[in-house]
Amino acid sequence: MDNAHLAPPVPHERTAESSAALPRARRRRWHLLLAPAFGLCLLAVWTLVARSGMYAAFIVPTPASVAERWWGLASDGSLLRHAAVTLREVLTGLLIGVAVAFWLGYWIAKSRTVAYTLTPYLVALQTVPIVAIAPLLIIWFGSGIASKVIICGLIVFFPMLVNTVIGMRGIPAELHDLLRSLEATPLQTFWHLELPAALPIVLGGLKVSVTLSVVGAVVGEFVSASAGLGYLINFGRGTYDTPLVIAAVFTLTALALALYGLAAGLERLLLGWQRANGTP
Amino acid sequence: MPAQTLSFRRRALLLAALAVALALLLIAAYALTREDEAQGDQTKVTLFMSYVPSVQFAPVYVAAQRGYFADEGIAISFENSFNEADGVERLANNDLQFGIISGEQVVLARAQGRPVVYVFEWFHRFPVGIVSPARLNITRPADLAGRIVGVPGPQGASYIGLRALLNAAGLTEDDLSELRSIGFAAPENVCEGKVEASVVYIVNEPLTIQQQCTEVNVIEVSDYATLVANGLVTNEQTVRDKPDLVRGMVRAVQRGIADVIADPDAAFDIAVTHYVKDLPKDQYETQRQVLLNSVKLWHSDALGQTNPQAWAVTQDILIEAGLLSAPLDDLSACYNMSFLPEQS
Repeated sequence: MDNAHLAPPVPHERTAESSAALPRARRRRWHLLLAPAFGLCLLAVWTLVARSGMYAAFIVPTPASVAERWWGLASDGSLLRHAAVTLREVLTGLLIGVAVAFWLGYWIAKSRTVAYTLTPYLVALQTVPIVAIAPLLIIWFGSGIASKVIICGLIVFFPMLVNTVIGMRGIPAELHDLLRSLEATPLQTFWHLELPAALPIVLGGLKVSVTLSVVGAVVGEFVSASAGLGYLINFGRGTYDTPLVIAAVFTLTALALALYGLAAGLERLLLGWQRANGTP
Repeated sequence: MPAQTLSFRRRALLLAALAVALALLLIAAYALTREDEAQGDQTKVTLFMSYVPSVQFAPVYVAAQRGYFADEGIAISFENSFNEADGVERLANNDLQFGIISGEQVVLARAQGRPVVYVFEWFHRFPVGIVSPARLNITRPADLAGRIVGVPGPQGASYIGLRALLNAAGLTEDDLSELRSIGFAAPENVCEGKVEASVVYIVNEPLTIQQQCTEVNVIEVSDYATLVANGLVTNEQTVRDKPDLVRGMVRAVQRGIADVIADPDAAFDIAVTHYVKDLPKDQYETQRQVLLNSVKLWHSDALGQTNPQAWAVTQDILIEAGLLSAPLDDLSACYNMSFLPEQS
């Protein structure tokens, strides 16, 4: 479940003979410009389509009108208010979903009984489309924050669970034997072996969960909400305010990226020892 | 890489700082979204409404702002959703006590054993119609024959309205070139020419199409059939256990509607200042017109009173459309007008 495949490929180390240091540094700088340049191209295409008259302005608004709408929302404080509502749901759902998934994943990896008992149900739970059960969750848990947190928790649960199980099961048996020979307690084994060894894969799951958590909160807000970025998108749809819809979508994306950045930062911080040791 | 050179202690500190930052973020998010608590002696009521916060709901906004709900001992809050059926389900479960629901949903819900009760008619004219570009000259239901017609989906007030119009012209769905499900995207589909006509909510969507692309013709369902439109709906448990609460809600909504009919401009200001705050100012004039269009549908000599004949017609259309298999044992149980104040 690790999404490392999304990261740009790392070029093989070149020898000093094959490439000079200066051109390499220049090439790196050039690579840094690729994503912004591609973004500008997309923006240009969008502007051309919007201005071509192929579509009415309320179907494809110009980037300028979206930016203007976004700025209006940001300057009157309403964007912050709605983003705070979504962030509240996202962080609460994420914390609960990730914690439960890690705990359950740990026990599924450790105990065959738990694995055989729970796995079929957990897989079945994952196959249920969250969009289909979201209205039911709103009916069962009300339209307040609880239902959104549950939807969010459910959506982040599975990637974290699977990665925890894979991470824990991937620890070599001889390392467990070593800890046993040293008469380590279960807590010591967890803290000094299992957690650090599984961490790279667990954090991969966290990065996937973080981005999904935003989707979860928005699904809940789509069904029923009086505030939040999902609500703002619904409001925009209801009033044919397409710039508002797009402005809210961009804000959601920025929120997801910021949370992903935090998770990536956490990974960097916790796995620094791996880099230092040259482990990929 | 700075991380490579960090000592264990430094990394632990950074981790702690990250945890504190996350906690602060969460606290800030909760603090920014804290809601006002209701007064202790008031009954908290959440009023369910379909769609999104809109000037079309100005009567309840006015009633809230002018203290009509508070006068009845009610601390009101509003909840909007695109899914009216969810609202009906929650009303039936008594998770919610009140909602603004369309009449045909009440009939369908009661047919499925959901104990919902319509206690106040808000819209005295059915707010659904057919919009089409003026150049196509679709001015009567009979003109729909051979046309591609869009509808949000094969259910709900829009679909019932369409069936009523087809009935009025002696047409069936087979007489249309195509009945296309387009979701709530009539303006986009009409402006792009993907459908020749579309079922719409007449107070706002024809206006949007007119402003965005073309002059339109509108066929209003209420000119051809008397169907039960949106009203205040509660459930049997609330009617039985809290009749004073129902009476208070009815009175407050009725006062709100009367105020808006009397002074739409003041109502508009209240709505956009306090409840539809995300509406940009450049849409104010359009939305003011939406409110005026809505007011036309609320007028009645007996505000809130429903017409039993309209319930019978609604039930017949539902049966004919295949959405209801048989007439209800007691259609009159769908509504209860005993909570209306005496007409002076």
